[in-house]
Amino acid sequence: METLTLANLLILFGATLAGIVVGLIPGLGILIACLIAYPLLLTFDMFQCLLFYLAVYSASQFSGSIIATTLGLPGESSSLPAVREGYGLYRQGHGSLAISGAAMGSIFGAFVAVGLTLLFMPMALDLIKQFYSNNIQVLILGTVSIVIVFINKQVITNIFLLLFGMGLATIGFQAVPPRINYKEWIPYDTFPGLLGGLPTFPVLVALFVVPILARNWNAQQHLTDYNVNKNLKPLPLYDHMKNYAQYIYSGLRGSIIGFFAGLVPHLTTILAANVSYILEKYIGNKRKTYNKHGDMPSLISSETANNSAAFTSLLPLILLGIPISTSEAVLLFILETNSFMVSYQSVVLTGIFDNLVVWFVAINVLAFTLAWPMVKYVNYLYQMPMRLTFTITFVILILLIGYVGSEAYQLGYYYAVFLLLAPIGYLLRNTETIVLIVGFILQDKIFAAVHRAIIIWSS
Amino acid sequence: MLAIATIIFSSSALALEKSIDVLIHSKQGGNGWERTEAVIAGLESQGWKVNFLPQGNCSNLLSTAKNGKPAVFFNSDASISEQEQKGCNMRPAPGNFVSVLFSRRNAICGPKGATLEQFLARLKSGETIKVSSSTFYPSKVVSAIGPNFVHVPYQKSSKATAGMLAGDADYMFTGMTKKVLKNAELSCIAQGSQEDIKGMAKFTEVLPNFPYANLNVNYFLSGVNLTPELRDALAADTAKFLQSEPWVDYVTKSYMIPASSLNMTEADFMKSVGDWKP
Repeated sequence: METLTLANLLILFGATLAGIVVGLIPGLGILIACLIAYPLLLTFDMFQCLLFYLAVYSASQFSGSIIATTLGLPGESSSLPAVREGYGLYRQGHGSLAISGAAMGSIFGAFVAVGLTLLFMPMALDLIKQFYSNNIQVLILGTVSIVIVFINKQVITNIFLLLFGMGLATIGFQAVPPRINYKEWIPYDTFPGLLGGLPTFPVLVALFVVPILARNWNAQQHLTDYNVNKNLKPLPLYDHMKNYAQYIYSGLRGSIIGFFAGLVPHLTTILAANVSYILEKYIGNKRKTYNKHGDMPSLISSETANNSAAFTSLLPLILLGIPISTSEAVLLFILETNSFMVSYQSVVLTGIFDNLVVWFVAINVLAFTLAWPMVKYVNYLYQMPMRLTFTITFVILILLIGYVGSEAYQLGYYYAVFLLLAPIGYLLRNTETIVLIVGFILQDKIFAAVHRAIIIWSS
Repeated sequence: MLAIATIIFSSSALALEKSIDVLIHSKQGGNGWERTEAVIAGLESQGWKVNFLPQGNCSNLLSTAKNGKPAVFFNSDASISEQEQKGCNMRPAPGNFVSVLFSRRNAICGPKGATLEQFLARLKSGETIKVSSSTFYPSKVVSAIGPNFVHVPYQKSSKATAGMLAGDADYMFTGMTKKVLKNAELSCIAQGSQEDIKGMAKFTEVLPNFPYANLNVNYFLSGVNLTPELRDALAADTAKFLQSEPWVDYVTKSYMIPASSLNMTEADFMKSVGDWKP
C-alpha cells in the first residue's frame, strides 16, 4: 500500500490525538482543530488532508462520549443521547461498562459503515457520475443551506447570517458568473487588495472562533475539582466484551441507521445518534426493558450510529465535491486552496478512496485504543482552567493569521480583516454563526450553480 | 562624452553579468509555479544567475516591480485578462516583452461516442447546443462557435468535464491537453491546430465562421525594468533553452506548439491579449 508512509502514520497519530482532545473539550470542535492545523494542511496532499479530517472527526466521536458519560457534558453535538443514558449509567456505578460499550459500539459502527460502502460502491459509481448534474448540485447545495437555516428556531436570524456571510464572500473578483461584487459601493480603487476577496482564514477566526470562545468564556469553570474516577470500577476485558455482545443487535441497528443518516446534510452524526436512540428507546419501552435511569442498549445504539455516520457523511464530499456540513465546507476550501479538485475521478479512480477506507479502520482501532483508557486522565484535563485552554487556542489562531497572511504576502491585509470582523464576531457571541460561515464558503458555488441552472433551463 | 561612455559601459556590463530576478504571482503547486521553475532551470543552463522571488499575487508582483530592478515573469495571454478583471494589469509594457515560450490550441469534445457528423448535423439544425468550459474561456469565444451555441461556465475545466458528462451540456470547449485527449470518457471531435491530431477535424475546416478558430493560449516570458540589451540577451538565451531536450519533449508531449514554430512578435502577442478580453 503506497500510502503506508511515515508521514501518513504521523498524521494518523497526530490527528487522532487532536480529535480525542477536541472531543473532550466542550466548545472546541473539529473545525477549530482544522483551523489550528491549517498551515500543516496546506502542505498535505489530497489523501493526507482527507486522512487528517477523518481521523479528527472519528476520534472526536469516541472522546465525546467519554465526557458525556462521566461529566454529563455533550463534547460533540451527537453525544446528547450519551449524556442522558451514559451519565445515568455512570451515576448508577456502571460508568466503566458505559464507556467501553460506547467505544466498542463506535468501532463496530465504523466497520459496518465501511462494509456497506464497499458493498454499494461498485453499483453506485454510474449513479454518482449523474450527481455532477448541475440540477442535482443546486438541489444539494440548496438543501444544505435550507437545513442549516431552519435547524433551530432562530430562522430569521439565520437567514440574515446566511445573507451576511454570502455578502462578505461577494467582495472581490468572482471567477464564475454572476460576478456580483458591488463595484459602486466597495472602494476597490483605494484598496485594490479587496479585489482578491476577503481571505477565508481570518474571516473564520473572527466570525466563527471568536463567538465560540466568547460564549464559553464563563462556562465550565466549576469542573476544575471534579473527580470522574469515583464511579468507574475497573473490570476485566472479558466483562466489557460480554456486556457489549449482549447488545450487538442494538449496535447493528445503530450502524445501519447511522450509515444512511450520515448522508443527511448538516445533521449527519447528530441525526444518526438521535434517531437510533429514539428507535432503541421505543423498542426498550415496547419490550419493557428500557431503564429510565440509564439504558445500555440505547447508549450503544446511538454511539454506534454516530461513528457509522462519521464515515458516510464524508461520502458526498469525496465523491461529488459537495460539502454537507460546515467543517466539510472548510475542508473543501482547504483542498481547493491546495489546488485539488475533489470528485470521484480524483478520489475513487485514483485509488485514494480504497486507501482511505483501510486507514479509516486504522483510525478507529487507534482511537478505540487511546480514548477508552484516556478516561482516567480526564480529571487532569479539567483541572486546567478552561479560560487558559481558550486563551491558548485564541493566541495560536492569532499567530496563525500572521503566518498564513505572510505566506500569501498579505500580512497586514489578513490582520486588518480580522480586526475589522472580530468585534462583529464578539457581538454575535450568543448566536450560532455556523450559518454565516456556510454562506461565506459556499456563496460562489451556490451563485454559480444557480446561474448555470438558469442558462441550462432557459435554453 | 564621459556620461555616454559610462551608460554604454554599464549597460553592456549588465548584459554580460547575466543576473536577473524571476518573479511569480501564482501559488506553489500549480502549473504556473512548475513552469516558472522550468524557466529558471532554462535560464541557469544559459549561464544566468537567477534570484527567485515569489510574490503570492499580481498586486505584490507589480509593487515589487516598482523597485526599478530588472525582473522577468511567466504568464499567459489568457490570464492577463483575468488579472485585469481583478484590477491588476500584467500586460507587458513596451520593450519588456521577452518571448512566447509555447502555445496551446483548443478542442471541442463530447461524451464518449460523440462524432463530428452528429455535431455538424446539430449545428445545421439550429437547435440550441450547450457547451461547457472553464471560466478561463470568455463566454464570447464559446458562444461564437455557432449562432445556436450557449456557454455553460464552470470554475475549472475538470468541473466543466464532469458537468458535461452528467448532462449539463452537449459538448465542452477546452484546452487541447494530454489529460483531455487521454480521457476515455471523452471523444474529442475538432481542434484548432492545422496539424492532424488524433483524427480530429480542424476548426478552420468544419467551423469556417468561427472567429476564434486560431485562438491559442500563448504562454510567454515578460519582464519589468528591462534595458533593450538585457531583453535581447534574455530573448536570445530563451530561444536557446527552448531548443533543449527537456523543453522540446515537454512541449511535444503536451500537444503544444513550440515558440520556434510561432515566430510571434510583441505586436502579435498584444493582439492575442486583446482576443482574450471578455
